[in-house]
Amino acid sequence: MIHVGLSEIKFAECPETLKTLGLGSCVGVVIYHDQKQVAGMAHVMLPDSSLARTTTYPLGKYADTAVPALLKKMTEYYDCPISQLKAKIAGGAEMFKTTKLLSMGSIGSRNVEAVRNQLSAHHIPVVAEETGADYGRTVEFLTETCNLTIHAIFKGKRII
Amino acid sequence: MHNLNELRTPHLDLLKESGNIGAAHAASSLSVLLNKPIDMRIPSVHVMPIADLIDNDAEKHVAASYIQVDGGFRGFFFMMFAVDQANMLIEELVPGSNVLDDAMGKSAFCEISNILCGSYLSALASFLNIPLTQSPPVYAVDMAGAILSEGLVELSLYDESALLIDAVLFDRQRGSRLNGEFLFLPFPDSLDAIFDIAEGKYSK
Repeated sequence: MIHVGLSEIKFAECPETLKTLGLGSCVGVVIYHDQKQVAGMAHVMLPDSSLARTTTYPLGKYADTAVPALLKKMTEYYDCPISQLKAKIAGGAEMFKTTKLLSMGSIGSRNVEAVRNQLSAHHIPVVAEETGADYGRTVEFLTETCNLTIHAIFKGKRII
Repeated sequence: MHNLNELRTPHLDLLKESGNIGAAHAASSLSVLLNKPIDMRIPSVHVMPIADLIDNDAEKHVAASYIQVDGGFRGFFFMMFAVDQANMLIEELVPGSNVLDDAMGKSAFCEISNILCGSYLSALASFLNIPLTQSPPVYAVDMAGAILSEGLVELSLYDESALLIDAVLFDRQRGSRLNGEFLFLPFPDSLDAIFDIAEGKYSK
């Protein structure tokens, strides 16, 4: 099991798995090649790098930098044709019942939208997703089956 | 604008000292509320990367409340307890209630965080001689990582680190400790007030 921390991007080949813990408004993005059984996962925290007030940041932090970074390594290093790549996404919840306090508004849904836009701009189909709602998720991607397992405290386990 | 990583021992000591004064006030308010002696102290104040803060116990099942701080100082205040510890706290205030009780349990937990945050802030406000206000708490029960990462999202635009203030509550009657995590997260531009005081510059 390879652990993908906040704002990180990690890759795995069969039979390894990629796991990220406690996704709230963050989005876990997996881009994979099912025949080669190779996958990359990013733990995206924010929709767009233009929001950053710092000059350096991890590429996995923002949707608009994470998706291109995932694609670059999948196509260049793992030699996967871009037209054969697929994506699965999870997360983007709203943990607090009121978003009045958060000046950034509904950050979860903005993250999901930004990730979807990035993927569609690169013509990567989103094969499955479990996003939104108001609960935290731990997700694990199995390169062997290309299944994404989602675990939530009050909802149990789901596989997409 | 200052960066959290520029905070040195004197700055952290100042925060810890003001925190301990705040904690003493908070403990007496809590003692009145619960009608029994409660002690509270701040054993440590430190700066750590947000990623480590969140990945550490990301799946831990917690109850948390979140308060926005404004005025002469902008930041966020988090109070977080493991669910069993939170239930013990709530039970003291509202017997038979718990964290999932959306009416009484939630309200009791939020009230405790209001008191703790308010006491801490009033100590800090008189230390730094600045006005501070606090928003009503918002509340969530879920995985610690999921709750924290959403709360820290705005702050993470400015800094990859956060200021962490741990507090320990002690129930003298039961003789038991209640370990809570209290995160006070100032915005980087708000740190100037702390720097000025720690460096002996009183710009009043």
